[in-house]
Amino acid sequence: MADFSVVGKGVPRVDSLEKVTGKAEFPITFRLPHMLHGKVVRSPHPHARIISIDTSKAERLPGVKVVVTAKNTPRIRLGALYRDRDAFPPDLTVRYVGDAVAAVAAETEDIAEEAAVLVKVKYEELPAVFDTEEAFRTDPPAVVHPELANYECRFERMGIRRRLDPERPNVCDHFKVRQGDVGKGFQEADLIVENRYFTPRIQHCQLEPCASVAWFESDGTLRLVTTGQGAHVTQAEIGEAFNLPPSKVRVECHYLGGAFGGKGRNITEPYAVLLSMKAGGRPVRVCFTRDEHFVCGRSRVPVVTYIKDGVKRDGTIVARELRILVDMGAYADSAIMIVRACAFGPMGIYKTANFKLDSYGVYTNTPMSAPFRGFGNAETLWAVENQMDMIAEKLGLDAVEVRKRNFLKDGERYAFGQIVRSIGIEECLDKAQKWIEWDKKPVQEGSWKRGKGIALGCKGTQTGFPSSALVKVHPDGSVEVRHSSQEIGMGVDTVVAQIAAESFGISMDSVRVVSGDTATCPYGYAPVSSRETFHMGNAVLAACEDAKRELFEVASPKLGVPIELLETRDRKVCVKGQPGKEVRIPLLFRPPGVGYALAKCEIIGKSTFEVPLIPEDPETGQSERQVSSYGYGAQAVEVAVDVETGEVRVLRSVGCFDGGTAINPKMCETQIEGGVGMGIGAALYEELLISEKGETLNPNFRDYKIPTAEDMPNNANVVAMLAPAPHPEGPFGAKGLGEQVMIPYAPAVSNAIYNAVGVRIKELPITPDKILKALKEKKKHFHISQLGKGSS
Amino acid sequence: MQVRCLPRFEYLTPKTLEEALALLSEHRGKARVIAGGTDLLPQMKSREVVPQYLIGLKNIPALDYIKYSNTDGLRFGALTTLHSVETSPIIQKRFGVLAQAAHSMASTQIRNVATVAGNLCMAAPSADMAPAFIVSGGKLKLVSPEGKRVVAIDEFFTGPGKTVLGEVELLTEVQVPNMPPHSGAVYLKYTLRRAMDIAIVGVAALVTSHNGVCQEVKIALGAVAPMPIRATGAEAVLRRKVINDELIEQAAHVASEEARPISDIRASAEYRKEIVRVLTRRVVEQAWGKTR
Amino acid sequence: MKQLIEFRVNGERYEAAVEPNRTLLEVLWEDLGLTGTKMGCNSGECGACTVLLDGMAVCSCLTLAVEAQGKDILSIEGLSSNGKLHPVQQAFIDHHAVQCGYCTPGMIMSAKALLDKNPDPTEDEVRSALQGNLCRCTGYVKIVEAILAAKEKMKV
Repeated sequence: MADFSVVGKGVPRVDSLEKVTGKAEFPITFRLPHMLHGKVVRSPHPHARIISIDTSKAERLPGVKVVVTAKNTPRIRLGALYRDRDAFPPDLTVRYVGDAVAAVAAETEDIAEEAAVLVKVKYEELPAVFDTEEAFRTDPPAVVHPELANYECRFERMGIRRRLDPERPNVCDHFKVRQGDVGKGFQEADLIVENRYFTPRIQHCQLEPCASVAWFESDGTLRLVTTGQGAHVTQAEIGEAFNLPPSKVRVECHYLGGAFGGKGRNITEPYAVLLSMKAGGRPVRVCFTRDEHFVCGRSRVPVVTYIKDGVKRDGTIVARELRILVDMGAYADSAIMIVRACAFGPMGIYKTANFKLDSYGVYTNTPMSAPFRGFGNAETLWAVENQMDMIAEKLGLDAVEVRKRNFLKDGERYAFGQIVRSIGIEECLDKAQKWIEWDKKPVQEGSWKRGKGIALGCKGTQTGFPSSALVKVHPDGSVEVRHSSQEIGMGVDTVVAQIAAESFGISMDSVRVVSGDTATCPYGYAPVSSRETFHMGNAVLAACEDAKRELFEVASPKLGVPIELLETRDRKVCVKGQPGKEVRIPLLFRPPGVGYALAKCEIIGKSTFEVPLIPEDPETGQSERQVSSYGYGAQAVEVAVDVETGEVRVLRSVGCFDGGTAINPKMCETQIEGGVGMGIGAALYEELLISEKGETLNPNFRDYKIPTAEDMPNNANVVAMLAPAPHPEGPFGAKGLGEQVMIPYAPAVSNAIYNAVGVRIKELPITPDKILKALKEKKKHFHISQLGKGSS
Repeated sequence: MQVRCLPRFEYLTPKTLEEALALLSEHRGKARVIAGGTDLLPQMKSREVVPQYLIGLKNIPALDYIKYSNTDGLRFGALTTLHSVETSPIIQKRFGVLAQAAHSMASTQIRNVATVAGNLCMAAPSADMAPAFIVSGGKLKLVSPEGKRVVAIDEFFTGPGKTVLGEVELLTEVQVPNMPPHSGAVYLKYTLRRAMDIAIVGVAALVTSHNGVCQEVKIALGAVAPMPIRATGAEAVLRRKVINDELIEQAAHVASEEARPISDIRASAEYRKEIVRVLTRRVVEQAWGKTR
Repeated sequence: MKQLIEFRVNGERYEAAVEPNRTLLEVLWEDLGLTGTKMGCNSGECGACTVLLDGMAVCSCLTLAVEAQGKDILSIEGLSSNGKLHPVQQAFIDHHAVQCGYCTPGMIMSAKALLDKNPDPTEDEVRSALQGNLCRCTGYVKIVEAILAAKEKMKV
């Protein structure tokens, strides 16, 4: 990166100033005059038929303007792939505690709340199913969507057929990968290791809850200011749901107070829009309370993973088989994409001669799931990375060595057929294990037993989704980039500014970045899948080149030099290799510095970047290109376990990650550190608890525990490192980083705990309760085996 | 869903204790007093409690003081915040266990406004201040229009969220006698996270030594019964005995038998009992260490 | 029944007629248009709504507006003076302590309250002061680093 002046440097973020002064606007504080407040009325039952809804009392409450139910509104069809969800259930069946039944809008928030309570709904309860494996059965206790086979499937428009299972009524999707012959592989194996792993429902806990304000302009244009992750996706889907073309829908969503994959897909928007529609276009705000956000703001899919590994004595994996159950909750929405996406983790790191994977999407009568940082890969790699350690231990090999023996290399193929390009996993592992001093046994102290653990992670960015950028050169020579993403906190605005600044040879403060408004920014997919640096970066680079070409067409006659010899620097067009021969950009405008671009009107460049999806073979999952790029990483931790209480403390933590070239190494560091925070939470504390009646028992920060500043190791003991493996197609070689940073954390902690005290908990979170129980069991078995020895 | 805007109420601001009691009497059954409000306001937001009147105590300066004397020990008024207890030099020096308990609660922001009196009156089974006060021999001055009475804190709690406080009665002062010489007192709280958590188990102990013998011992357990309790059985194991590791372990075991925890979303009963045993041992060990 | 309250916010005197059941956070947002202070949970469990009340960090979502009568309130908007950032704000920028930025105002206010009382905190004391401020993006690493750096600058 020595050649670059802005790219590769840890420059300050372009959004920091606004955020530290409180000036940055978030959807939750957006206000308009005469705005109404909306509240959604929700089902207290996990599965029930609605017998009647009496809205009369609510309607009569002074200050209430609108009450809507399925009866007095058009069908608002939602659902990212299956249309399994409407704003209000059209078949009058509620499917989870929290399902929407009606909505009200009133002058103030407290009147709206009061009105919501006054809506009286009579239900007839139906049997419900909460457990993923129970729901997966051929004879489950309840069928969540009996009409599933008849639902409209948006897949079909993309030429992909639906993948239901006629034997299993709650299965909505089935993804398969077949490579080689696992049966044969298991026969050749010297050792078989087979286990079941579980990751629970956890919540993103973005500090900003979901919120939308909707209103209609006089010409019928719908306006939305919303926390929806993906302004254009929201524009298209809300438009479709309300029968409005994108040209009649404007969505604004610039800063989000955290997303982590959970804020997409029409969470608060449909209700705000419906209420506004019914209120004659008046602005309506629907904002979740924190407990509502815990339940209805989406949560991470619970996942059950059955994994069977066949290995040779030297540690090489000859066969790997996975059966994965991914819990959609009551409606699949975009969580259905996880069924497929979660497979790429297990396929991303290791070579496996024979590989078989079946991943199923399963409905249950629990709150809706959504993508959560990692998109299913943290869940499946939880299984894989525990397995790798178990394999090492059973073979008497070192856990790091066993992993290395199975690494994929550039030029080889993933189990799904794509060629590996850019895999920096080995360097990540080497650096991490060096820092944690892997070969040195930790020192023990009193009742605290210490152990070190390592785990790996990866995240494949999905293909088939575009990012776009428009670049304008202003008459003063500054550059404005309008891009299709949103600043959800990962730093895309800064990366975009850096790339544009580098391309034009100007300083960061000569670049202005605009995003998050469908009226001014070009179309692109949502900021998900760790995709923006790779896709948006490429789009911006190409758009800058396009803009420069326009500029050079104006400058070329002035300088009397062909376009190919021109470049830009410091707000000037210069001739390569001829210092002094240049023209200031303002002089290419008339009047200079303020007017129109000579013969061009405006200097605007544009580009859309997409890596086309090559659909996989439905039987084998094979495809030449499913993933644009894979990011990788290794996490090593040292933990201490109090054997008397089961308490676990993370003492030291090093994460070394490969996100390709680091456009902003400081921002990459902060991503890794954030991954530590979320990782500790997922490993040790977090779980949304559902009662036998389907109620969420801990929808608050008191009883759903995310790490506080005191739960992290001190700064000297948290290290973030980078080991970039540049990608040939990435902008400056960059890939993605945002998700893999938390993926290896839980298994690293699990492996460390095992190395400390000899117990392995296969169901997250690893609570003190579970550890203490496991330690007691271990003691018991030890005694029994000792007795056995004595008697023989 | 659950957490809503505050319900409507009238806010009254008496300037004296007498005025406050008169208002409480006038609006009997429909009023609650509010000091810090950090427990009351969330309960009101979730509609667990919906008073028509809130009687604000913050404007009664007579309730805001911390006094210490060699003879009477510590006395502080109902408006004393957790922060004040945590940081008061006299409390840190002579009643360290109270400062320790206060520091373990909630967060800086909450401790800045929450009052000790409020914490005690809310009577959560897990209230952190209670075990510390119990072992310190705390007493509470309760005032009603009929007069005043002083109640030992052991007798203050009657059940989860319930105290002996009458409908028109206010806790005005907390009294803590001087710790006997050669005493050590410790409070340990077991939580899942390092901060912000309600105790899964809380144990406080005060031990007094005389020539290597445990002259007096008080052990109080929080979060493992409908209200904070004295582990009298465990105390009996140690009282007037020569202290050694084995004896402490035995007392800890008895304490875990005396605990009557429930299983809830925070922890199972079985686990809590185990933690009572471990924590009691550690608390007694540390308290004993402080007597030297 | 509305009560007339008078209080100072960021050095300016305000008068407002408020219902007793309104919180200080609601009044800051709706009556004063000061939306820098954030709402995270409305229950005092996340610290996003932290402001300084007579110099003390409090959760404005659990503060009755009527109890702000006669008090001095400092919110994030009042921290910089004459366009010059407070050292903690500058340190947050310089040390990349900001990601989504939603917890940032509350964090900065808690940090200011700490440094005003204790100009030389240890890392442990900083973490303790931030107990009640949740962050989901940063893992707190750069936040703690920024506050420790700010204290050094403020010592000079």
